[in-house]
Amino acid sequence: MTHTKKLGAALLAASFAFASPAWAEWPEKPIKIIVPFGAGGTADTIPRTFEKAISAGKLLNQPMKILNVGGHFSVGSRRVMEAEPDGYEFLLIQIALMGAEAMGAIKFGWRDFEPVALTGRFCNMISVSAKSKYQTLEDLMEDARDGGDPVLAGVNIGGQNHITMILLESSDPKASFRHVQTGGGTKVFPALVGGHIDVGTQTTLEIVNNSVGPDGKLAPDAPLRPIAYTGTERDPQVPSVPTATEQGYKVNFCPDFWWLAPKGTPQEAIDGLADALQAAADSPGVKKLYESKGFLPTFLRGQEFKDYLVGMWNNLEGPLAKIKQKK
Amino acid sequence: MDSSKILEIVIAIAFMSVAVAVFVEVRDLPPGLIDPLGSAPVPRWTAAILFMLSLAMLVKVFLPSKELPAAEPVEADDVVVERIGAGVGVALLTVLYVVVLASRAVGFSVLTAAFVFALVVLLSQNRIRGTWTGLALGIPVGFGCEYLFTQVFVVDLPTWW
Amino acid sequence: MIESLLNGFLSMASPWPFFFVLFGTFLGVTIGAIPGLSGSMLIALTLPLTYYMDALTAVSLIIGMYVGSVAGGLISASLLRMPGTAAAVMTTFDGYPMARSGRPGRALGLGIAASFVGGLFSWVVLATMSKPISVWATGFGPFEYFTLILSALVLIAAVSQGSMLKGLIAGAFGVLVSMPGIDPSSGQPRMTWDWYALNGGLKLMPVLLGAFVVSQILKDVLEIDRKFKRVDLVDDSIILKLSDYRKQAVNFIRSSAIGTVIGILPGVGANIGSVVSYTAAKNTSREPEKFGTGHDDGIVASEAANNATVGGALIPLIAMGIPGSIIDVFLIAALMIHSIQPGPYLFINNADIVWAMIAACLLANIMMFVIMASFAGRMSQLMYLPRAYLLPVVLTFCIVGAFALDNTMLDVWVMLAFGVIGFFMERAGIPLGPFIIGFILAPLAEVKLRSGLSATAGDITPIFTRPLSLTFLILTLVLLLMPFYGAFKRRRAEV
Repeated sequence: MTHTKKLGAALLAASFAFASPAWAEWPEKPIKIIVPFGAGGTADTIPRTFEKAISAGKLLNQPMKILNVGGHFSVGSRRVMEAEPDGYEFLLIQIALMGAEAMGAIKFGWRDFEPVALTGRFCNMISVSAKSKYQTLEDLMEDARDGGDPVLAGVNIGGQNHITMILLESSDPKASFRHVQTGGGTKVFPALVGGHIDVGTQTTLEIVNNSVGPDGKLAPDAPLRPIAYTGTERDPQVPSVPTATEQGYKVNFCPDFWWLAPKGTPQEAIDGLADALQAAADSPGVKKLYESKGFLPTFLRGQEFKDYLVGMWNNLEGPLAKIKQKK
Repeated sequence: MDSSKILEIVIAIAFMSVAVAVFVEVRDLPPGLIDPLGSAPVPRWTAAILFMLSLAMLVKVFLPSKELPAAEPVEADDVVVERIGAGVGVALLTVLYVVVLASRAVGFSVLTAAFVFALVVLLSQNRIRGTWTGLALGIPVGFGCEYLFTQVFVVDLPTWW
Repeated sequence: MIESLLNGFLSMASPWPFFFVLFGTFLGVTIGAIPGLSGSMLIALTLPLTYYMDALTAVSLIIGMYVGSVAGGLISASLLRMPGTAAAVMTTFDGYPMARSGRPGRALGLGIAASFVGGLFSWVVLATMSKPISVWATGFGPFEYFTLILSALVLIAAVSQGSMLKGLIAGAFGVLVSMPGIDPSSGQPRMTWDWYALNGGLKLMPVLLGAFVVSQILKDVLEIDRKFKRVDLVDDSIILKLSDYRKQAVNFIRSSAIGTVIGILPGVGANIGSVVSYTAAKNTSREPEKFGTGHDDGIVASEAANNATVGGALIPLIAMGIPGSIIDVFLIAALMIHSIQPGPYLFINNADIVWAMIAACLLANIMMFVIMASFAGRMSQLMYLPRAYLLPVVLTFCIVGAFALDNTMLDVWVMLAFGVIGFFMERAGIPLGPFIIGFILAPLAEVKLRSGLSATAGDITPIFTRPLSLTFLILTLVLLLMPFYGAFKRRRAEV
């Protein structure tokens, strides 16, 4: 990025800081960001990297405190939802909030919050074991259609890898998978390699770490074979993997990270945080993080973010009805 | 009946009640969505096992037991009189401390200093020495912890400054 | 393998990891030496801080503390007849009489040498066996894991102190305590009594801190008036003569081997290792009557074995992702904080960390030996720190530590509640080991069973047809029935 652009971002933030008298009042004490996950992991690294960029660039005139509230994400999310909407407590969350609501596991959801901003997005690689008979997504889907031996899809129920699999399944009305609770993140890899599941998802970063050689091509001894990418365009890091859409299956699903505020939070606090995040998103620290995680540097705020959430929910609600718990 | 037997009876009954409570709670759990077993069976079986085992323990208390192997000889000066009062005092102070901490009404450093001070005074045998040591210990621990857990590590503790 | 191991040592040679192993070992020995404070306490309270370190440093620190605290317990065990850690109980039997009879230096010397030999022995096994076992374990499917955990649960109940009935009760209660929260296999809340705060379940740290630390504090508070008889270090050098090593050679090797094997068994840690090894030494001795009166062999058997369990216990952790001992649970938590998943794929995904861990284990043993041999005398003074001053500080750290992890007051209440529950369970002779292992392993077992069943659409037969899972299942049954068989045989003998 150019220096002028950086300067511009800083100026933009600075000009906002002095723009209105209301702005001069917020924030007058440290603001809390609740991360409803345990320490470590991507959902924790993202806000911490933003926090570093914000304090280094003096983008807010009060410190930003990142607080982990682990256990299950519904605990921390609920805490923010019920917090005093004074503009000093925010939530960082991802698609799991919609997943759990669609499943009926929690009785609140994204509509109970005020959207602030969306920062960073990652798409998935639908992957099979290198020993698998499936060479392409078509091979896999054909097997899922024929009604013989079931295709075992490793998922973390309600999580982003499960949503990906459900979307893939519903992209073809005749296809069906048998979903097997495998867990999130690093747990899918051993299950795929050990042959306990037939298909699962990996992030680009995981695929690059475990299966791609230094030349950007699949390594000859790669344990996994990525067969489709869930983004709209091929991932520049692994351009040999076609998108699912290219192969005729409309799976376009890339989880991203959302900053939300309690309903009723003053607009200047929402805008203020969004400004700081927007400026921080252009900082070298955040760019480096995005690059190392294989993220797309997406940033949305305001109406655009609201529309995005509505669109996302409308896309998911139908397919996810499949996993809705009937009481 | 000696106190250890009474304790066994109390614990057996407590565990049996836990088992029953679990049994009732998991009754309404729906069958599994993607797994054939669902959420209920594992806690239900475990509760049943815990109930049976606790019942066995309860029954055993009342069965005539074989003479126990002689316990190791205890040296006379090894026998300690337990200070039940100290235990109860520590428990009450701790509950009070956590309640006040949760209310966020008092700054963490001051509250903690007072807590440590009170405990040291309660536990030490020499009141005067205990008072001074309590102060000498409470103040650095209270303020040190507040610094450590709000400035170095970011924890959501109430502060006064 | 040699090359990877060398790389592991290289990463330990950089200043920070090296310093943290040293620091951890020193702290471990110190805390281990103070009665009423234990290694699991220290490590539990350190865990929240490791988040701020990188994975390598965090692991170095914890391994140092682990090795140090298991060894440090022998100081107060020998000089006060007060085991600094549970693992040193057997050491009191011979260490204390020897110290009282005017040879405290020799008691410590024997213990230190035995700890070192035990540590080295199990380290060799750790370094050579982890990788092959992990390769073997990559073939484990859900049913293998389920049956393996089942046998581990029964095993820990069978071998812990007290009756098997009470061990099983503790285990079953631990399993139930792990159940509330969002059920990972269905994504739905269960046993939360419609209370959102319970969606996260009863978390590992508060339960562990409560059951091990708060309950111990409560016990110490009640016995606050206990006076210790001082045994001062007056006599001979702590360093053993070569002839001593030669005389004890068989005992060293047998005890280390027993400790290592017991360490490998999932969930069974140092205290059991030393009991078994002590019994074995006594039963094979030509002068068993000398045991318990200040006999060299007794100290060696106990200390060689309890330190050997450390290396052994790391094997299932590294190779299968199952804790070999209770302290291993903290190590797993520290790794997970840094997104490292222990288990068969650790050697593939994080080879550098594994080998560094293995290297740290050796380093910690060497440091433990050096620290203990040079400072044991001075450290023995720590035992007389008045507990009236110590306990309030530890209790404060527990409360802050439980809260700090997740910024949730519920965790503090959970910790206090399990402090009281743990205290009364121990009083009634219901062991805490099976409780904790049940609490930790049950969720894993349940997830594995249910994912196995969803893959087969509810068909349970693979459990009986897959050779490994059948083996583990039979093992579980044998372990369950053994006490009955023993009782039956005894009755026959009496008739």
